[in-house]
Amino acid sequence: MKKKNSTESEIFTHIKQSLENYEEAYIPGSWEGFLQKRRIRQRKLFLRIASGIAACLLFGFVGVNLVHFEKRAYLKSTAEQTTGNIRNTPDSEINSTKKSQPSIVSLKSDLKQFKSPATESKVNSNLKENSIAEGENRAVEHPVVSIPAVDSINKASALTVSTDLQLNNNKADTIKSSSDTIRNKTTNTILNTPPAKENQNLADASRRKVRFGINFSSGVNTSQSSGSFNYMGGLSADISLFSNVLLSTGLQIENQNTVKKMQGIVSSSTVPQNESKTKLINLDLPVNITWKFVSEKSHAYYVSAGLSSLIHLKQEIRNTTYSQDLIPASSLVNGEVIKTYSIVDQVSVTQNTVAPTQTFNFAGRINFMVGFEKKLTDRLFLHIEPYAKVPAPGQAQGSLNQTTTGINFKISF
Amino acid sequence: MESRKEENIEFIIQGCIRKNEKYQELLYKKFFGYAFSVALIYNHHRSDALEVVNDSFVKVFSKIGKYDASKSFPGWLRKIVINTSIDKLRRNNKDHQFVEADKYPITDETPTIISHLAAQDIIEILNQLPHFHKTVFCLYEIEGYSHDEIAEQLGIPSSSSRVYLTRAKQQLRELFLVNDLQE
Repeated sequence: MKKKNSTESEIFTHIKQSLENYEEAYIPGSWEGFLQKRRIRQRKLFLRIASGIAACLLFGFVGVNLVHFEKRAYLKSTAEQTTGNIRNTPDSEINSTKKSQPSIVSLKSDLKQFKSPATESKVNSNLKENSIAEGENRAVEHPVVSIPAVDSINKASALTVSTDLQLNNNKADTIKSSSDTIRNKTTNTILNTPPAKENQNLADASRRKVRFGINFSSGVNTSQSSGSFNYMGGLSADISLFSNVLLSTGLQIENQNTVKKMQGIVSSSTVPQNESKTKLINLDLPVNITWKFVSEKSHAYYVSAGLSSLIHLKQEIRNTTYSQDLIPASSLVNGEVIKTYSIVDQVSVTQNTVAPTQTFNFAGRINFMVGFEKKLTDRLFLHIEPYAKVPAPGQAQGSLNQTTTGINFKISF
Repeated sequence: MESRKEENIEFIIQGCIRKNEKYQELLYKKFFGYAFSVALIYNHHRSDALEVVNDSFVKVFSKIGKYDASKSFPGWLRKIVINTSIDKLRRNNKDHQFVEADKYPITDETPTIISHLAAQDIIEILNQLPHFHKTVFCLYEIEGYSHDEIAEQLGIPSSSSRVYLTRAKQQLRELFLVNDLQE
């Protein structure tokens, strides 16, 4: 038992010593590999931070717009309500302005009591403030009075009251007349703005914030050794950030076919070249910033740039190799065995399918796009967008490392 | 003079603290072999070990300002490489079922001749152990961690750590025996 334990400890001591003194040699190219990996990591980190900030800004912008829209809707409903009120305002309400005069009258009596010039000016200013405040209070009672033209009339009437301290009965008439003016002007202003039209404007404004679309595009994939057809389709959303700047995003399914021709072991004009066909089905998630440099009612021109992330749903690789074999054939002629050889073309096909969602290529492609937008109807727009999708450096490898160019057709609403 | 400066580890570390890429390269090349050999003990495949080394150097360069110069740099680097390997192991074995009881039979067979295998052969033998067994064995026997520390690091019960160690030793005995017989 003792021997067993000592042997065991000797084994483990030996393992420990061997591993402690062991050191691998430097592998050439490791530093370069490390630098590349670090760059990719930094870029991913930067993209994550940038997309986080962009998402926050986007949410903030949408939030502010929602609040703004609700405010406008509230003002509109208040305006409609006030129009109704003014249309039905009885004279009794206007007469109530007369009842508010005691404060002015009391100030006047105060002024008579204290005849000194300083006091007079103080009371004057108080009176002025009081009158303005009264005018503003009335404006609160009638929210429409906040219309600048009406405001100025109101304030002017208040000033008239304050400067003319001699008036007593005339004052009420002045206020009444100015109130009439306010009522008439306000009524005219509101009546001149048809509610239906305003509704339409508000609806248009809210609708243009996000515009959805359906798109289809066809294009060509090109890499150093191959070229092939590509098509994709999906949904898109254009979110208005500023007057001419949009955030364009969406979800597209993309079908790529690549054909790569390779020289076989034996080069011969009679043997076809070996080929590797790759069929890729991807989900493309683009995030682009679009700038409309020409924006007319009927049409617009714009440029767009951004990044696309890819989810590879299916990757099917089919390799076809061609070769020629010599097949011997024996035949008996005049009692002699004659061997003849014939050349037979051999084709071997191997197929490899990679499991879905095996690879996610975050920000793997850089998108460039130039676009033309044409208004079809009030709500429908046709977009024609020549585009290029370039693989981001260090992201795509092998069959994925290809540039896609084509034309995208989109109907947005 | 310049080359002597460049061989001085403290001078290189100072350069790395200043984020000078030239000194980072010097440090990387100087300690790559050491870090790689440590990573090889804790990873089954060389490609995984290389990935761990690169991840470790990313950590080294970003946290070199916190390095305590009074302590040995290789020791600090070793700890980072081991922790990175353990992180990777935990990431890749989220659904790993841990054993609670030791029912593994221990045989009396022990190798009579102590092997004098090279380090690479030992690593190959260690790689024949299950990943958790190997990691527990290395942490306990080579790094001198206690079972509680190992349990905390690997996120396993300490009883499992004991079981893994026993099993690892048992398997190693068998593997050494096979090796001796072959020799």
